[in-house]
Parts: sequence; C-alpha cells; structure tokens
Amino acid sequence: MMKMPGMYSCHDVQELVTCGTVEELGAWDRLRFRMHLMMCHHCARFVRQVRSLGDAVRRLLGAPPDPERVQRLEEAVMAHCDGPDR
Amino acid sequence: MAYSPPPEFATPEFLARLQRQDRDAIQQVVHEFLPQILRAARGAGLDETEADDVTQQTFLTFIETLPRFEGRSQVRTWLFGILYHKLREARRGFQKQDRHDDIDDVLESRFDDRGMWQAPPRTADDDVWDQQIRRHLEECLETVPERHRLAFVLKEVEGLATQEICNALEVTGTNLGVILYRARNRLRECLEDRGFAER
Repeated sequence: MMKMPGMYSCHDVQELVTCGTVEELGAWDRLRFRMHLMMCHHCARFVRQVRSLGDAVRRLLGAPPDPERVQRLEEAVMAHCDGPDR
Repeated sequence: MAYSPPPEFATPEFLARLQRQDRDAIQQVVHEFLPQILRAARGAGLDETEADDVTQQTFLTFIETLPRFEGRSQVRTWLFGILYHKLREARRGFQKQDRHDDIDDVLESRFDDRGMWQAPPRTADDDVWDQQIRRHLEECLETVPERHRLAFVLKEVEGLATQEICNALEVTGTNLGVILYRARNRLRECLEDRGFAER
C-alpha cells in the first residue's frame, strides 16, 4: 500500500492497536484509522488477530475460579480477621 | 459488559466502616473481590499454590492497612495495587525492566523506512485462528514477562480502566501503553511463529 500524506502508516496502526490507544482517538484520527484499515488488508488482518487474541485470553483465563477454593480462601482471610491478635 | 463494583463500596459510610476495620464491611469486600484477585494472580503466571498464598497475603495486608485507606482510589484498585506489590516481592519477573525489550527489534524489522509492512502478518483463515489460538496461547503467555502479563490480564480479562491499571501498577499512561504494546505483540508473534497462523 502507498502511504498518502496525512494518512497513518502501517507502523502507526500497529502501535495504536497494540498500545490500546485507538479508543482514545478523536473523530478525525479515528476516521484516518478506519480509512487505513479499509485500504490495507495486512493491517486489517493484524487488527483482527490482536482482537482475537484478547477474546481468546478472556476465554482462557476469564472463567470464575473454583467456588470451593474461593470459599476456603475467604474463610482463611476472615479467620485472620477474627484472630486473637485483633 | 464492563464490571462495576457494588455502588455501596464508594459511599463515605462504607469507607468509614472499612477504616475502622468493620468485620462485615471487610467480609463484603473479600467476598466481592477475592475471586478477581485470585484469577489475576493465576493469570499473571503463578501456579495454584502460589496464587492462593499471594491472594491471602493481599487481603491480609488490605485489612492491616485499612486505617490508612483514604478512599482516593477505588477499593478494587487499592487491592490490585497490593497484589502487584506482593507479586513483586514474590517474583523477580515483576520488577520494572522496561528500558529495552527484544520484541521491539522484532517489530521494527517488520516495517520499512516509510512505516509500511515489509513482513506483513501471515495470512490465516480467521476461523482457524479462532479455533487454534487457544491451544498455543497458554504456552505463549509464558514468554511474556510477568509484569507485562499482569497488565495485559488486568486490561483484557479483568477489564480494568487504563487509569486503574496505572494506579495499581504505579506507571504512567505512556508506560502502560508500552507494556501492553509489548505484551500483545509478543503474544501475536509467538503464535505466528508456531505456524498455525498460516493458511
């Protein structure tokens, strides 16, 4: 893809996406970002892959912990709260 | 949908109860946030025993320091800040070491002088990416420095706002951007290196 004056480069897009700063862009910069993705299939793919990564990490690590384990830890913490030194 | 703590936790009355270490108020906080702290500790790379221990230590410190808690940050941010300090005590990998990272060189080599891809992301069928990413993700997470991994987990899994993570990890917004940049890129590069991204 040719870089046009005033447009984001692929490197800019990669930084914006992986630093997580896309959501902080103003209206004009967001438009520039979207236009780049419409014209650059490499960056469009990169963005999809990074978003898939977030989804996959949430699926992998986002499940609630075992309730019995949680309860055991809660009880241990509260036992300290009720301990003789308090 | 983003997680919201119970609104009661932000009231002056609840804060006062916490400051005088009111048992019921503490129990409410423990019940609400212990699963999140435990999950974040595991997500940051600790095994089950270590995660249990660090979680318990986090809440014990929370209880001990409550008289000093002034409510300037949310209870949850305060807790994640304590967790971060406990992780730093437990593992060297959570120390601040952000000056240079090999992943930066890998990324620079992917672009030409004009900032255009010279080594674009390898093509993959998006469905295949979605189905297979999980299998390798756990191993690739091991390649991410622990501190970066914690920031990434707080952002992507626990859904903390940028400012909350900055407060908990004691970094600026710019630093957090660099940390997340490196974590995401390292994970993506690792997965691509494993070849399953190719069609």
